[in-house]
Amino acid sequence: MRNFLKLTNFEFNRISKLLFSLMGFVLLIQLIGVFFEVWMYNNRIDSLMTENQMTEAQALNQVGELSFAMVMYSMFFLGPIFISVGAMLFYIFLIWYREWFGKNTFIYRLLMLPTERINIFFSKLVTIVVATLTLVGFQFLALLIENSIFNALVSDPFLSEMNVVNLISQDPLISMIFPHSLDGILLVYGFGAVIVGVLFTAILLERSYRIKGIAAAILYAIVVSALLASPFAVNELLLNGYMYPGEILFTFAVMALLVLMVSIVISRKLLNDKIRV
Amino acid sequence: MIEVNDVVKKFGRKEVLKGISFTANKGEITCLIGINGVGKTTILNAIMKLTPINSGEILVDGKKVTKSTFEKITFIPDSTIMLPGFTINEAMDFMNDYYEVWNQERANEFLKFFRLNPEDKISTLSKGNTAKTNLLLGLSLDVDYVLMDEPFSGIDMFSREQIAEVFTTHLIEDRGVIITTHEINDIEHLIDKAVLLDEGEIYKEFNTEEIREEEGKSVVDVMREVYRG
Amino acid sequence: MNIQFNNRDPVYVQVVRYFKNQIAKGFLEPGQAIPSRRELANQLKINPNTAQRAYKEMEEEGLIKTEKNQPSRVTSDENVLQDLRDELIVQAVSEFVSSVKSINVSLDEALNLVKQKYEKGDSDD
Repeated sequence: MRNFLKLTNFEFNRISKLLFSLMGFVLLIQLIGVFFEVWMYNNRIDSLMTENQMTEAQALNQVGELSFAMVMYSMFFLGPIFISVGAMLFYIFLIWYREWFGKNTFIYRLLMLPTERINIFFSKLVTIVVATLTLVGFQFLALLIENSIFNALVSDPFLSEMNVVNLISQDPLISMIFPHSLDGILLVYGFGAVIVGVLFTAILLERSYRIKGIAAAILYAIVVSALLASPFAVNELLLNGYMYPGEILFTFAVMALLVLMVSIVISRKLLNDKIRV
Repeated sequence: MIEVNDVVKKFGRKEVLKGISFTANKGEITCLIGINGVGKTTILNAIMKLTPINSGEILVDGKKVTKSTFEKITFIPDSTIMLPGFTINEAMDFMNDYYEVWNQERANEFLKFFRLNPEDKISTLSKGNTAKTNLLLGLSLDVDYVLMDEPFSGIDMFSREQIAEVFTTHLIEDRGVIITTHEINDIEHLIDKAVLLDEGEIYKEFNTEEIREEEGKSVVDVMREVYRG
Repeated sequence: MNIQFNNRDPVYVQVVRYFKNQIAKGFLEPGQAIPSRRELANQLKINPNTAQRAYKEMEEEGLIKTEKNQPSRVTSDENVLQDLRDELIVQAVSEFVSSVKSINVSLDEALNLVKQKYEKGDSDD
């Protein structure tokens, strides 16, 4: 256990640079987005007032109030999120492959540590999950900050003040990142962790058997997909929608846990007996 | 004792180890000799469970290798296996974090003996100093067995001399050492036992002092007989 | 301390031979402490096992004595030292004899040459 914590701490230190850069990047671009949208809006109002000789009220009437939704649904806001997601997906592979490649092959040291090798797997998995949750938490905080800056920038008659939480729930994509309930958080990020575990197993299959391992990894991914889809498929095709959504989700969660366990068992075996430096 | 019993290893269809057996005793320096690509490194990797074997068995003090074995045996490969961004200090801290048997006093001795600067980043070290750092990190573990892969290859003469000197000191004494080399000259006087390998097979395993005493032959003489006869 | 080792004689034999020479030449005096096997290994750049073996051999021949918790010392036993001297002389002479014999030098001729050289004080040492 102590070694697992040390390894996790170690992995987290290694990811921290990326994490801080991503946070900085997200905040910067999203703040630019806030200022940009406000500036664009003010420009439109101004030009209506100067060029079309409208009164402020007329201009407001024509353009409508500015709400934070304009910022949140813009690429300034979503772009950095997509990039962060992409970076984390990339890191899922990097976190393993960097141990083998390059001048210094750290995998030797990792595999020779006097600790259960599966701890390496767990530490990397936990690092990815915690890093992701850190990013999500930071994004939520950033969102609140951006919203209050936005509210401060837009003067009263033009501002349509909106609740951030409502804005989140109105967008399917954003509401997936910030689920409304604890169940939702567990489901989304728990499922995410399971998928990371499956990808790790696929990577270890490749690292153990190389080319043949890629075939095995693809096969494993297909089996896992089938298992995870099975609750929905069974309900639709065999039971004609007999199950309640809650029951389906529960079965799905059980399947996901099962998949995670299988991944751990396979990865443990691979790390102990099959891995190659 | 490290026992390698009838170990077979295949890469695809190619058999790189064709049923290798030998032993290495504690307190002795055993040298695996053979030209490059005869499977010396693979043997060391297999002992440390860094590569799977197809059949056979490897025992350390009569037991299979598990996580606790790594407090008893260490492997020093011929390349750095620490994060390149680490300084030597950070690398030592890392070792200290995970190994009960890490011996910082000994590590300090090595720093002095090899004249290494602990503030130096590993990625900036010369080849010779990289090899010395590897040695420092491996040999500062109070383990019974040490595996070294080609510790003399590709480094300057004075570094080679210094490294060979380590074998004559208490820094190695009483441990069991397996060392691989394709160039015996640097260490001919130092080794207790030679294991000659070629194409995945062991040609001869002998005690160096015995062969000098009984047959008046040097290790190189025996190698000549084996590889050219 | 420095020995140029050859690769065909056992290293420990070469170490013993070296000590015998040092004692016979008086560089190591009777009763003088000699390095521990660990120091010796380090000084001669040999395996500590070999140093150990050399010391064991010398102890068996009575050339050195080791008492508990003390450094090993060169023996003060006159008989042993005399034997060692004899051994080295005989060894040197037989080497000389066999090499002059191999080039057909007569005994008289050889003795004459020895005498001349010896008196001139010409020596390799």
